[in-house]
Amino acid sequence: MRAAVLLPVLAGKDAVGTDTLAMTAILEDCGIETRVFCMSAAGMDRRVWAPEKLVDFAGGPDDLVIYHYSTGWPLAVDLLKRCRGYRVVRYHNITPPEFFKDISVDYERACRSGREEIARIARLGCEKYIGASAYNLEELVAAGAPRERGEVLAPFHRVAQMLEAEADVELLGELCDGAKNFLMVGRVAPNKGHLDLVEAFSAYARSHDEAVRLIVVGKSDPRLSVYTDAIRARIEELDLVDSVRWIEGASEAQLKAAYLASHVFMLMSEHEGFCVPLIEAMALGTPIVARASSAIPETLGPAGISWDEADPWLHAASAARVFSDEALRSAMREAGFARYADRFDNQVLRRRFLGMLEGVLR
Amino acid sequence: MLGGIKEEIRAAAEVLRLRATARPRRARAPRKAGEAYDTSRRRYTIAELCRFNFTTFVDHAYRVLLRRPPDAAGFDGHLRRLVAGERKIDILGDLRYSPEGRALGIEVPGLLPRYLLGKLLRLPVLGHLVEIPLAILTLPSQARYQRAADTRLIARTYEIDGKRLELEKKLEAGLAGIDALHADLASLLERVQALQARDAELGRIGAELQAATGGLAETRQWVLGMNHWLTSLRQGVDAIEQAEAAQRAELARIAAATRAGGAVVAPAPDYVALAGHCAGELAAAARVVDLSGDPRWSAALAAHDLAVVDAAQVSATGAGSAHAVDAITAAALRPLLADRPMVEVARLAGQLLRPGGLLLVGLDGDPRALEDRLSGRVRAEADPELFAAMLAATGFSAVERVGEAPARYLRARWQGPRTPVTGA
Repeated sequence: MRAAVLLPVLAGKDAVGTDTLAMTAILEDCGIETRVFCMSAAGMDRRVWAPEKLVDFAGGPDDLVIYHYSTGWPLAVDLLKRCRGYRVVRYHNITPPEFFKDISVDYERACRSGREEIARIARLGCEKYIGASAYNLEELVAAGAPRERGEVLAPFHRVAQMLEAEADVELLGELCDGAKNFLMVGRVAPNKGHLDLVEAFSAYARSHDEAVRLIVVGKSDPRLSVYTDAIRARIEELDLVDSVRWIEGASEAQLKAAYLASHVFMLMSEHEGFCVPLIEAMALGTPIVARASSAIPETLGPAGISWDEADPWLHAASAARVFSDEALRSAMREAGFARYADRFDNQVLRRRFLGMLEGVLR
Repeated sequence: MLGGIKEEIRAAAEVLRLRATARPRRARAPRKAGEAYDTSRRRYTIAELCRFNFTTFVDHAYRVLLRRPPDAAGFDGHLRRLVAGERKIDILGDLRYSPEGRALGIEVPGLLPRYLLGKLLRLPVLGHLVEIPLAILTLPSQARYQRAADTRLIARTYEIDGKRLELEKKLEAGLAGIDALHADLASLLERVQALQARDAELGRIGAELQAATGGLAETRQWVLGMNHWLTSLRQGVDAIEQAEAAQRAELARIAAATRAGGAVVAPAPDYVALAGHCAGELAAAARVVDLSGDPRWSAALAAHDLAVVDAAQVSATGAGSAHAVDAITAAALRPLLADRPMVEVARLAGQLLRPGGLLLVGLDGDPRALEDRLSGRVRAEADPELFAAMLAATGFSAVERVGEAPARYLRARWQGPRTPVTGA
């Protein structure tokens, strides 16, 4: 038996790349010869193979193919059709193209083609459909995937490495200056709700006489400069330029420092397929206030305060309550630690993953 | 647990919203470079000091390490060092370990060894001997940083190119807009010239109109005056007609009342007896002119074989030529005197009658004359006594009243004129 893990682009430290490499490592631990097939790779030392060679390697009836579906890629559909073994579709979700309208034609087109592919993949008759969340799985089922073949498995992540890493002391020193820190982690993209976040932060800053800081950790993309410019313009408009700290492309040490130095992790995202930063915040004990959209309530559970509304005053008041209510803060931390340990720890996920493939790996 | 808390948070959110609306407040930013630092703080990290660049870096370093803003010479000198490629660590070390910096003693962990290393690297020969192996050792990471910097630079270049292209497009659109505006301006100027020409023409027409307006006003006044006059005239005529109609109606009413009361009711004339009396005084087939036009009287005369000729007929046929008529009769005096003076009647009778001709006139009032008398249209000559006296004075003889008592007819014989008759 051979196993192939297929995805268009492998980046060692992004969510899909981390999930891919973790699954690959687990399969190899099980003694299965496993290769990663992708068009390009960056940020890691592992050897990868061209997708065209997948069928030759793992196209047989006893082989396993796992496709990480996170963008439109017609070649993958073709390859899956040609494989005769156990085929698994791992769905990370695709941002609806409407978010990119008037912001980026490229992204809008890519997301539209990616979502148009959902129905083709759902009806491909693969043996297993694994959503990163129940929210994702429901999209596949709604598109025609058989429910009995569906599973939910949270993505593998690098929280353990972050827990072990040393926090960036210099950044900690800078951030621990007495100001109340609001943290947002995630790429600067229009579905992430940065504008609502700025509004909520502004609401808090204007209603409390204390120094405040909004830490925005995430990579900005020049192709999304319209969105980034809009955020910066809004920050200027609200006279918050000196209160916002941007950290572009943070290292694990910087990310850890940001979580540790922050008093609240505030997430106003409008669309998430899972949201790994939520479990990072849980693992590091940062209280969470979030908007209950898409898969966020499912990931967050009772470990934070979530609201259906994007009302900035509601989120600002939530942060204020977290800051002032020690008992609540402790309870949220404990709930976060527990939820992370019970559901999202990589070891838990590993067991569940192997359980899903039990029939194939025997 | 969260359920109850969320309700409280929702209420607190409303309070925040109202409070912020009532008392807007500026956000308080964390401390930044250039701001007065908390003098109680004695420890800073290298990252805190190095995260600023160029002028901000120098200013911030002075304020933190020397607790004062940079003097002009120091500021300029450190900027030159940065431009020359020197490390920030060296500048921080120079400030921190200057006599002034040492006196203040701000702690910057890790600064001293890195500063000393920098010093060492600046030593002639030995510095190079140390720097070269160090540089070789750090070459991979520096190469990685360089690649990352290149990538960032390229990404930034792409971004700038994109913005440049956007600006070029906007510029092109702007230039096209300016060209269009120039064309519009030329068109507008042409229209302005045309409008100016029209304005001059309108001025001329206006002057002509103004001149004509004077005469027009005068004509208008005249027409209005005429109109007013005609209206007044029509109203006057209407008033007269209305008054006359009212008077007629009133007279008719009074006459009817008078007749009904029997005050001045004329007895029915005895035409047959009178006609017999008349026939007795005339020869057979005598020509009689009847001036009254009463058909009953005419019929009574005709019944006695008298040739009755209507006065109008006499005038039309010439039958009434001078002194050709045997008798002239009138059933009533009033109609004779209604349209002509009494003497005129006498003169006419004198012209028509042959000498000795008979004039017979009824003295009773005609019921129709009642309105005339009431309206004052019957003149004084209608008085029978006066009429008889006048006949006697104008050539008639045997003027006497005849008929059943009371005698209601006046008879006279034409004798010829005694004195010339002139108008009244």
